[in-house]
Amino acid sequence: MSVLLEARALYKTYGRVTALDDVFLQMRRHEILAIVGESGSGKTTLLNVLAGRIAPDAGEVVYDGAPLAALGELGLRKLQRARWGFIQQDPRAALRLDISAGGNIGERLMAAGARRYGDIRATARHWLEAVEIDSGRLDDFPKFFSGGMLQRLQIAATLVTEPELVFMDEPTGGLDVSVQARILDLIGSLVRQLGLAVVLVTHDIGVARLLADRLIVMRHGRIVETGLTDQVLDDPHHEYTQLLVSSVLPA
Amino acid sequence: MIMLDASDLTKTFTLHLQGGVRLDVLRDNGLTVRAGECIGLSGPSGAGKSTLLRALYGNYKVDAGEILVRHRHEMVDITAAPDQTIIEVRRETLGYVSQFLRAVPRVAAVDIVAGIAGHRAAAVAILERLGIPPRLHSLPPATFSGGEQQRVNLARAFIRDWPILLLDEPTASLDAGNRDIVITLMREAKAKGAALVGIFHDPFVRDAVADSVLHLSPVSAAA
Amino acid sequence: MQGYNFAYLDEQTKRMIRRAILKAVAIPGHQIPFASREMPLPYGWGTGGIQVTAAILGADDVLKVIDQGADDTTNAVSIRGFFARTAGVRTTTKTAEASVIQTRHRIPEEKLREDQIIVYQVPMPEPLYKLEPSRAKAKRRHALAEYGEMHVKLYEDITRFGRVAVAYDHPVMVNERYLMSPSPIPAYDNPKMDNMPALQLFGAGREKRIYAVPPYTTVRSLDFEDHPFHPGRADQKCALCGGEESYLDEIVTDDKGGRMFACSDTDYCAARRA
Repeated sequence: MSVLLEARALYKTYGRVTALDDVFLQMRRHEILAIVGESGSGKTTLLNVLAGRIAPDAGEVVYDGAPLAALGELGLRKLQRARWGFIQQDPRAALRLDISAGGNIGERLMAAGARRYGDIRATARHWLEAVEIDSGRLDDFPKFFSGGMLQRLQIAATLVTEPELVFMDEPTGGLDVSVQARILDLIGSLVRQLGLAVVLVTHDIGVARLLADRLIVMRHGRIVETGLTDQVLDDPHHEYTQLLVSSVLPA
Repeated sequence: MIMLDASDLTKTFTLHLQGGVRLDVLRDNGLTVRAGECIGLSGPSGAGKSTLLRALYGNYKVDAGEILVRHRHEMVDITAAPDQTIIEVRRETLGYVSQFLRAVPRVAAVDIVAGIAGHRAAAVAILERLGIPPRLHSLPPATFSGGEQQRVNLARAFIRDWPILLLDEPTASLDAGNRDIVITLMREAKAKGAALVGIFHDPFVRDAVADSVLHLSPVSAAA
Repeated sequence: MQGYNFAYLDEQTKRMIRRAILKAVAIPGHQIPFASREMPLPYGWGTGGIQVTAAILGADDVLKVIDQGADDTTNAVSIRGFFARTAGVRTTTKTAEASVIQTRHRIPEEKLREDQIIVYQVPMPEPLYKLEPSRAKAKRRHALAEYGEMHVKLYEDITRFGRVAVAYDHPVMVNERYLMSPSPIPAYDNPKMDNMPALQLFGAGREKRIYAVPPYTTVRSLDFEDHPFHPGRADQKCALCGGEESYLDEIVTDDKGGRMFACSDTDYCAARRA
């Protein structure tokens, strides 16, 4: 299977802080890749560079054979709207709180050219059910949703166009533990059903173990270890990875 | 037909958090399994049985040696193949039954067993065969007893016809009755041509299923 | 009038505005920034429309000014008087006689001709304003033709009111490229903009934007396939002329709930009654 997303020699500094230092990675279609690290590891910067939201100081990101830098703003935005999705940690930043749940889900559909009100509504209803929100809330405003519901709405609003590649930034960060489990479960099954490729940033190893096929461990802007999730977590080789794994509180 | 051929396996753990102490666990180990055959791994605790089994699955990385697995009519070297290939091998050819079920929250037992492909009828059948009553099928196994969880784990493995199956103490938490059911399942798998490698703590099980036994002794640990 | 240039603005300003108008005509529906001048009336009273009119007015032009369709409201009278004094041009209330028509929030009922120009007063030129308050981001959307959000607003309308309920300022696609605010004209007037023989100019003084729709340009009101655009009109006859095709004002006549409907376009109504 060919490479879908590739990063070569990425380098990015913010003043004296090196956020990305000679980062290489590859991922294939239908793969779930987790980027794990503590605060300051550079994982969020890496995600944003991969998603074309930040330009690296050096190096390149290549998607499906085409370097992002060569796409131009129009090409990049088309990619971001049509073939990619981005799930943010804070759903309030991604959703329109004064537009109904149905409108939020329908937005990507309408941006992609959907022009039949009835169809848009039916699809939105279907997706509310898929993320376990009562479809009777189709016309309600997200202003009144709980944190977990908002995140599930964001997931529905992002996956509705079945993007090839979805970036996720700590999708369950800040949510109660029981709510997290539900959302991780939802993400896992939706992603597998739709065959999406996912790049997932998390500081929570349990999340990575649950969802990801492959894992990248970052520290101070560098990749210290990479491999199959179970292999990196069960047989960590790098000193930092061993520290990370042994620091997880037992349930 | 050789299904799995491992040779010259060497593995040393370096425990950075313990001052870099090194543990040699495997040295020049190997084994060969054919279709329809079962090899049992035996030896004292610390001898490397679990390490070897996990290495065969690609869960542990060996420092040297090769592990050839017959996948889609070709021999794939687990130690050298790209991650994507190992994922594919694990999806189609190489199954692994762990000692404990890693309980995924909220997913019903029957769905865990049926998997993505969703063969619910077969899942129900095998759960019942392993003595999991229907009233538990739609419940997530997190609240089951250890033995029940392990039987769900086993159901998930045996619902499929794995060409190669690795088993780590599959009957450890089971009573005699269920143990016998698992023995039957393993024999049925062998009869269908599966190659099995297992760690069987119980000599009764080992004698009932294994065609040969590979004895492992601890490599002397270097400080 | 002593001490003022023809039509109040100095020639350099008129040149600047005309350049903006040329750019606007060259890119139908696209907003062109311009250096809006201080006018002798506050923002919100038509300073944009007045500057556009002042820049294009010639000595031989005949000017009509309407406010919500009427020639005789305070604003229409003031602006008409302003140009009569500063430009000395002939003014009229008859649509057919005018060469330049400045309007606030209505298009005349009478079909306009190729030799006429209609100048709209625009409060908010940015159709995406409510959905994208950042003007910089809105500019990007126009540049990239990313208009999905506008359909979201229409979706919300149908959800809440059962129909695309934008009664006025219903957004339009101009030349199938730019999303444009037609100014707060009633939705009923939108179809008149499509393929109009006259040149349509839009001036927003406070927001400092000019845009244009050249003659015979496609102007399509946004809608859904299964909820098509419907130009709404009260299902009434004009109480004065009996007209059933014109846009009507609803006029409260007493404090007992009495009301009547009359043509909003006073010239049209008067002509029918003559």
